[in-house]
Amino acid sequence: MERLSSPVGYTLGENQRVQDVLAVEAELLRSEGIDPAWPGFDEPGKGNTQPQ
Amino acid sequence: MTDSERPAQPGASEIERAERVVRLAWLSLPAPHRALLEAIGAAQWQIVDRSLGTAVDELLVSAGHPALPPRARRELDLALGVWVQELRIIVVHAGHPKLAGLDDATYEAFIARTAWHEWGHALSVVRCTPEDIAAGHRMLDLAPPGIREGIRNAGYRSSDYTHELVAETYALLMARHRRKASGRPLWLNNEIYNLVTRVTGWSD
Repeated sequence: MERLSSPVGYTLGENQRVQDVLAVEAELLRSEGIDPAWPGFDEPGKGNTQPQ
Repeated sequence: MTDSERPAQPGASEIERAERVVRLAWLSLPAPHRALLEAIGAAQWQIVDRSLGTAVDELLVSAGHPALPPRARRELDLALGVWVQELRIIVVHAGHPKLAGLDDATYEAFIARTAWHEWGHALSVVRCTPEDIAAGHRMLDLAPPGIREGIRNAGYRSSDYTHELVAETYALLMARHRRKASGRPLWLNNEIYNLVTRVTGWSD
């Protein structure tokens, strides 16, 4: 089979931490008056609902 | 288990933990977005506990595709998530070193963000035009500084800039959506917003 192109993954910079990424997001949210605290998910039920 | 007691190396429980978050992130997407992702074959995912270069290479070869070139494999080893177009699947590395030691809220926020990023990336790869790709360098200059620097410092090629910008913006719009915010955020350039709405179907 022919290769489309090599997949490109989601990568952080060598010195970039997860907290740094979320801090950028928080700053943007805060700039428009949105509470950046993670709201969590409303769990709809147990079990894997991944489409088959 | 406290955060300080959490193991640096994941086991089955860590994979289950990431699986739960990705499933909830999927269910948090607006229904038309899920339909669009299903239409392009980007509605499946797999959580793994090893480097993505190795994991994706094995998945490709076992499905009859060529092995990854060594450079692509090395680059993918650094990634937290990836959409593999040939296999129509998103793969997330639950044991990535950058995830070690995170508290529960940070972990959940970031795994969800990674999943949203990859779904945005998949839509971008399938639906962007060659002109969109060619405009990546210019479009990145229009992005919020923190987003722009994050993409530049991660070592992507300029030909990846459009996809990464769409993916990052999509993840940010989903972060707002989870907090009941809608419309174009003031910090987002109108040209980028128009690109993301066209490519991903974002409509709120």
